[in-house]
Amino acid sequence: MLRPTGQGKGKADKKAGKRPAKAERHEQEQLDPFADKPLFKSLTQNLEAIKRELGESQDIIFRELLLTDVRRTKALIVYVQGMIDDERMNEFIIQPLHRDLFPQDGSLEPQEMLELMKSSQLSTGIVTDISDWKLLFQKLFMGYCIIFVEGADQAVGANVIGGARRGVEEPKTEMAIRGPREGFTESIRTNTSLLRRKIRSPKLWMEQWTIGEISQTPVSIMYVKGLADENVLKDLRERLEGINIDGILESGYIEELITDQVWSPFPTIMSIERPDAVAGNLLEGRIAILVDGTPFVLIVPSILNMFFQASEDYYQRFDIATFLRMLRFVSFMIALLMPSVYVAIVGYHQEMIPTQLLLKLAAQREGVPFPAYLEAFIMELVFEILREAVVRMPSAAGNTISIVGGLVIGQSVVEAGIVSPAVVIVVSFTAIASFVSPNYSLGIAARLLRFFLLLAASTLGFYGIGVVVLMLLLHLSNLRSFGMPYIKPFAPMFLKDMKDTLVRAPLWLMRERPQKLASGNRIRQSIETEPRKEPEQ
Amino acid sequence: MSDGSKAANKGLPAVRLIGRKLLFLWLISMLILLSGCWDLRYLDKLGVVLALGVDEDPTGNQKLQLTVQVVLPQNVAAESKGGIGGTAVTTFTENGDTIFEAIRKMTTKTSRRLFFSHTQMLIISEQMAKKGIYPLVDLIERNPDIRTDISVVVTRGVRAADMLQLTTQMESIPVNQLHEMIEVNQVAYAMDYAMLVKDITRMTGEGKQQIALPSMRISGDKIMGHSNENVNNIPANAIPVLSTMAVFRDGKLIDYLTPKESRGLSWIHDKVKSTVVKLACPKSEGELVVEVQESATDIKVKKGKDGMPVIELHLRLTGGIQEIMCPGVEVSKEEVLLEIGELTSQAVKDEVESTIRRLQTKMRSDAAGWGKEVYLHQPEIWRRIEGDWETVFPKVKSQVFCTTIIMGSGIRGESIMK
Repeated sequence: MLRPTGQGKGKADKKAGKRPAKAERHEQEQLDPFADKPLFKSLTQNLEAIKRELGESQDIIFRELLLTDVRRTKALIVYVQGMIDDERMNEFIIQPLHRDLFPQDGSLEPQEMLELMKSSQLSTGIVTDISDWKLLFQKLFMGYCIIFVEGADQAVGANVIGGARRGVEEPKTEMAIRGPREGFTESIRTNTSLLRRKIRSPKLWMEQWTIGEISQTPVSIMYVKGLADENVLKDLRERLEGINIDGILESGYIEELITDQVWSPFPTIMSIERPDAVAGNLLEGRIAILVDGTPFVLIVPSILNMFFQASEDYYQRFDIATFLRMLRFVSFMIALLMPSVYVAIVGYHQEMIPTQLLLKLAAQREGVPFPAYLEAFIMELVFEILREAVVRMPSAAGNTISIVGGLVIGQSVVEAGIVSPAVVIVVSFTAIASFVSPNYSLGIAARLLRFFLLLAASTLGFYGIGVVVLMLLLHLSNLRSFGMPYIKPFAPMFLKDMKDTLVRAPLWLMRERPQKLASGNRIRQSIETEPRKEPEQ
Repeated sequence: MSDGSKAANKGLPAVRLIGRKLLFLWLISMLILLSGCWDLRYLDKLGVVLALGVDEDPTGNQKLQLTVQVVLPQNVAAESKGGIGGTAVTTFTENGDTIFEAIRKMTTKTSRRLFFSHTQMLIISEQMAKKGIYPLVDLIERNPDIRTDISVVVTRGVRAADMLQLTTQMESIPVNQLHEMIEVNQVAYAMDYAMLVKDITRMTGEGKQQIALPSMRISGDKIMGHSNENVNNIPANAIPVLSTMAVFRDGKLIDYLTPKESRGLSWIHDKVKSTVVKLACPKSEGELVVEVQESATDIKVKKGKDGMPVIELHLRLTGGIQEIMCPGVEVSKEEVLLEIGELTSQAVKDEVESTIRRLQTKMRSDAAGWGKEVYLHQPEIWRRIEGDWETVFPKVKSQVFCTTIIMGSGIRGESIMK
């Protein structure tokens, strides 16, 4: 079994000898006896076969009808209720089939009748020939209706995909004040179309796979031909083809299965809900992976710097965008370090704070039963519990949580003298800072590492924090995302790419695409885009 | 699943690898625990010492008596919340031959470990200062926990312990009041200037400079001053008052300067940021006041005809007229401003010269730091006279030059006095 390079070395390799055999067996169980077998000629036989194979599931609808030729040949329409658009089905499939079209001399073979149907009767965009069972079931569950004709060992699938799906709405995770309001949806077709509407170029190419033995999930990659690195593309194709799993329910599955480094809290593949952000990345030579059933689109290769870039940065003036960039970096540092720095100062380095502040902190600590590190640890844990509860709970209970969380835990605990107010301030400020990151997944890294740093700070003070931060830096500089160094352009240093890191230079200054990313075509704008000075009089 | 058992049978090396990894992890986690919490100090187990006071041991058995002023954080907090707590600080006193000994002996009286990283002042009593202060600052220089930017003062006429036991109204923590008093005075009037432990240490280097420290006294009933009652009266029964600079010779207190001489010393050391100079009105009865806004002192050392150094002090002042209490001063005229500038220069020059006279004749102590200036500017002269600088210093000639630029007369022109 093909596995992407460098990931899952642990278990996968050990069982490598066993996996293929198991996978084969699994395939046989699943598709036998129909795998590539042709359809039956008899309508009844086909119907029986489908019913048996689907366990007589009630949502499969069999609509029998008689065609208008002289022999009144029987036909059968099969579809899954809820996955098709009923009106389109009536208008474009059933009504035309009732029309008087076939020659009345009975000269047509069933096969020819199907052909005629396809060419002159069925008025939907996509019509497919189906000759084997595998394809039949695939199409059936994509929302096609399948039309059989008595006596033909072939069927026709017609696209009447419909049913309830969420429309294009504002993205829930990546908000923006300025910029497009649309977000991806669960439908991969909608999502690809959203991208096509951003980049109307013949160079926007797409490749599609069906991944997941049972779930049969469509997975596409999209990239701008000529900008995307062919090596990365090749690598990505290999990794995707190497996936062998029963189901892909969300892009997170793909992310975890193709990522370079599993044992890291830092995400090396970015997930985005905004089409404009994805389009921006495509234009920089990155590749998007779209998975049906989720609004989260993956971007490879992803580097740390990208997690601090919001699409809004490019829609606003560069000065405010630069300020916000820096704010985000600082906030990330705060989210990562503030509780541990507090614990280190209060526990080890009391001489480092101004006297007045020390006295205030000391006064607050007076009579608090727990040592500072335990206090910070408890409060961090409480915050994480609150946060998780708020995410999961039914929205009707929202007020309860905010009252209980804010009032009871925030105020009462301090008034009771169990926790010092300083810790509450530190924890709540940390919490706020952790939400500044425009991408959710980097915040997760900070959440986990915070506890690790807290432990180091409570045992070794600033020395401990220093050691852990150094370890993190080492780890970061070791990370790769599809061959791309994770903390590029800081290490290795690419001075030209620095224009889009801590600062967001004016657009007309960022003339080149990120280095080592765009193959060949590096220049993204002509020199003429630079604002002209007023001609001197 | 049969997978697991088979993997276990087949994959012995793998299991061993996992085992090794686990062992490594375990060792690392032990490291965290074994390193323990080295140097961990609980904030609520510390007695934060804000000031040290050194007196003579009244019983005479030991060399000194140490008083520390410790913050009581719970009371500081109570005050900020508007409640009536106890005093914000307390003091502990202990006898000993050395400071460190006394500090450690003090644990017989304190429930918390004393913590000296935030100590702000070292207060030395007059008697102790007369015996010599060099032995007292060694601990502060040597111990890494104690800062060297601690302000040092001498108590005038009272014990250091009394000074530390005085409650103050403007600052709930008395040491803050004492500390800020010097800073504020230096910035606004410059009679005194702050001296830090590290400054004292530096002075003992080349140049044979002598020390001058600010001094403080208590005005009012010092026994009443110990209680919180003190601060509930308007005005308080007893308050700390900044006195003039105390001059030392070889680390021993000799005498105090007069207020005028004290500010003269500030001019010499270029410590003046802003001050007021009172002048008699040029043409009529009454006074006017010039506020010095900028001041710079340069010291130049020239070689005299007899081979002895000649010290030149160049003072450049910028100021403005702030108060006119006499008629007839036409501040709109330039020549009037120039004249007032001249008068100011003369007044400042007088102050500086009186200080120099006092230091040279009566005190015979190089608190002006001229030895260092000679050492820096005329090292060959210094080498010759270094041995008997004590006898040479009183005879060193000096010249004071002062120029004053009057920039304005406030936001009013003529005085309303006619």
